[in-house]
Amino acid sequence: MTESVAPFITSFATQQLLPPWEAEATIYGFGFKIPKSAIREYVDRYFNATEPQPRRFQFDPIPRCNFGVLLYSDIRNAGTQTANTHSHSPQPYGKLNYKEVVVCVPISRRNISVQNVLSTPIYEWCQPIAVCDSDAVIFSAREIIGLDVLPGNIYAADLEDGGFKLTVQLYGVKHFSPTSKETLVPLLEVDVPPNSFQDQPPDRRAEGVVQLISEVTQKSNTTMVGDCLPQRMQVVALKQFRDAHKMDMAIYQALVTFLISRHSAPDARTVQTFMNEKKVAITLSDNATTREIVQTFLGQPPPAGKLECEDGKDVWENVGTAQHPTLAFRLRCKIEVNQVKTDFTLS
Amino acid sequence: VLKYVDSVASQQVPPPYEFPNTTVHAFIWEPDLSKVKAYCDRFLNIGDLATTGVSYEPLAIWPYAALLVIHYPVMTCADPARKTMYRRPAKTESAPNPATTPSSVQRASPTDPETAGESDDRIPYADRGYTSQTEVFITFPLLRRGHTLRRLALDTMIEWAIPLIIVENAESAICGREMLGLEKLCSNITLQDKEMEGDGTNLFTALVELPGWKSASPEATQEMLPFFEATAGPLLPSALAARNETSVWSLLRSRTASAVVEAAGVTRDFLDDALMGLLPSTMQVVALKQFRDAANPANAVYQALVGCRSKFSNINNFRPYNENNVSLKFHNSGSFHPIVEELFGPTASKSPDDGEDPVYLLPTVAAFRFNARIDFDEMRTLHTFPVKIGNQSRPPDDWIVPWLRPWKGFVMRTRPRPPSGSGAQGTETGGRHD
Repeated sequence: MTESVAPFITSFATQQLLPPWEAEATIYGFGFKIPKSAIREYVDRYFNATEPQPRRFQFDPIPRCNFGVLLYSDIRNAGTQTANTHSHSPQPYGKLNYKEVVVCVPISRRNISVQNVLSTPIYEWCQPIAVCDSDAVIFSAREIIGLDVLPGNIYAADLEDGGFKLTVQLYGVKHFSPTSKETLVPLLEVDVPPNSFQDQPPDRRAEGVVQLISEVTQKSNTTMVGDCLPQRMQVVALKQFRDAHKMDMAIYQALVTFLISRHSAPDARTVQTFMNEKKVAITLSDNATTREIVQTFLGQPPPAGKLECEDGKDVWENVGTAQHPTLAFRLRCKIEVNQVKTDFTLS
Repeated sequence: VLKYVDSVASQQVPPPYEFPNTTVHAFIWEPDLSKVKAYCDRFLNIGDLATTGVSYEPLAIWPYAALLVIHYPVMTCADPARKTMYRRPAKTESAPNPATTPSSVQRASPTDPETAGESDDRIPYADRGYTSQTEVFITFPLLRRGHTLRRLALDTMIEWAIPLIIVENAESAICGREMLGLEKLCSNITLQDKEMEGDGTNLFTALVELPGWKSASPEATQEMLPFFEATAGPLLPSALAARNETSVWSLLRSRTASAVVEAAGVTRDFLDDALMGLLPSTMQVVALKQFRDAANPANAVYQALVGCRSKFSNINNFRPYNENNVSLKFHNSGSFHPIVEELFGPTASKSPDDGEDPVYLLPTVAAFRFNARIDFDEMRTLHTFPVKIGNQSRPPDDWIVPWLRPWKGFVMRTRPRPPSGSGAQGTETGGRHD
């Protein structure tokens, strides 16, 4: 139920891809472990610290499921299912193609009743880092759903030698200084060398992440699409907008959720392929903007050695050096974005 | 009152901004005032007149609009004290040594709620560097008229609407859309503003490409398409210019005359009236800031009229164009047709030339170029519209005209608007299940 009664006044400049929408997708996924403390830091800062208090929800990391999935999606023929269009014109326009790179992390939410009773956990996914190259999708994600999707350039290529390369660039600065000129700076690169693709997960480390994804999938009462992603992922976002006069204040805050559904494309020649994750290299670039974005998710760098990756290195030391994921796969499917709803309105 | 949860992913640098040494190409044209009135009624006169107390209408005494192409070589945050919530990241820095770190850096004053509990090495927005961009927008003046004697005296003023604004910097688009409500579109803008070799004359060209659809077919795919093309030049005085100009610039054919205008522009900053009255040195901009309901995008969860100030200063290098040497061409097909029709009216539907997409040629009555510093500040929420059913309060209006603001306490009492019985935007405490 919604209590809004004021119609949104569309203009030719609204240019939002209205949910629900559906599309065809080619997805490259890379799983990696995340320190539990980093997930705790993120949910406390972006969900649990919201006001007014007492809040009516509690977000937590999912026990034993401290991982994230970096998803690169090449989306084709995205079209809204809404009778209206991308804009206010009565003429229905067509479809659009876009690329996006997101980091998905599973978290749990328990709602709190007025009697301060915690509900059973709801398993959701947050997207602390998201980059897209389509204005219409960015405007929709930011202004309707509340996902802070960043505009950027995404270059992806299936190389002739059978490899794959992904480069993500953002507008940012190399150093924090008033004299730094904003320019396109690299965020991350993914290199998949030739002969990396195979049919099955290659080793038990990868199987471990698959097992974690499977566990979250079961808790979410859904099934797996292929062997690597939940068929249905409920994503939660904090939708908020600044006050025009007092910029530190919000005129609207709400928890918004939506559902991403994936269906195997029956006509696709190769639905799912795994890669040898030891051959895959992911490099987070070392510049001021990238470090700030990593800080968004991992928080302030702690004293060295306190926030360790699986390889024993400090997470912050890993910025700028190539890392191997613990799972790498490619999936072709159809996706739907639907069931967008406002779970809690804070203002 | 809710605190905005800052995030680097928000990509917002809050105002005020300063834009030094901009280059402005201004093209003045006569809009169809019925379209201006329709714009007012659709986007600004949406509330109950008894509640808002003011309405917007075309400014009949100055029936012109301006198309501005502005290049900003430097765009920065003008408030050095404003900081992000993030502290300066360090590669392997250990915790600061209290013995060697100045106390002011170790910990901010605990009495400051903004910084309590955080060290004040938070990154100032100014330290996130500067950017540059080119912007194209259309603006026209509106009369905001109070509908009671008191509001007529205190709230009536001229404001400027911006029905179309196109930028090439995505962060600029995000800031404009989410903070001010200006529905900026992202585009590729290609500018050429160069002195032609040999004869000393200037030629200005602009090409704006927008994502669009070539046709209304549901099978069409969005692609970057040319939307707007402009050419102008040479700058006056020039022996190469057409001789049949009819604008006021026929009076300014000498460098001496244009220098006088330039000097007047600087001097008149104090008078708030520069550029021969064709463009104000201070523009009070009004925009409808609104956001969709997530579950039902046809409805809004927030709607308000927001104002801000765009101030031109240090105006120099003022040079007019012969308006007969200006060509402003809008592509008028596919998904661009509704834009052209909404801006310029049904007359925009001109027959295409042989084998070419239909275009609309915007006739200009004057054109000029100048350099200036632009300051962007004084953002205010003028009026918040009710969007919900319920007995809720909403923020007080802030209609009062700028020159009266220092005397606000003398001429009017400000107090929170009491809850209204039907339809009021407001603050809801506690969670609400949808």
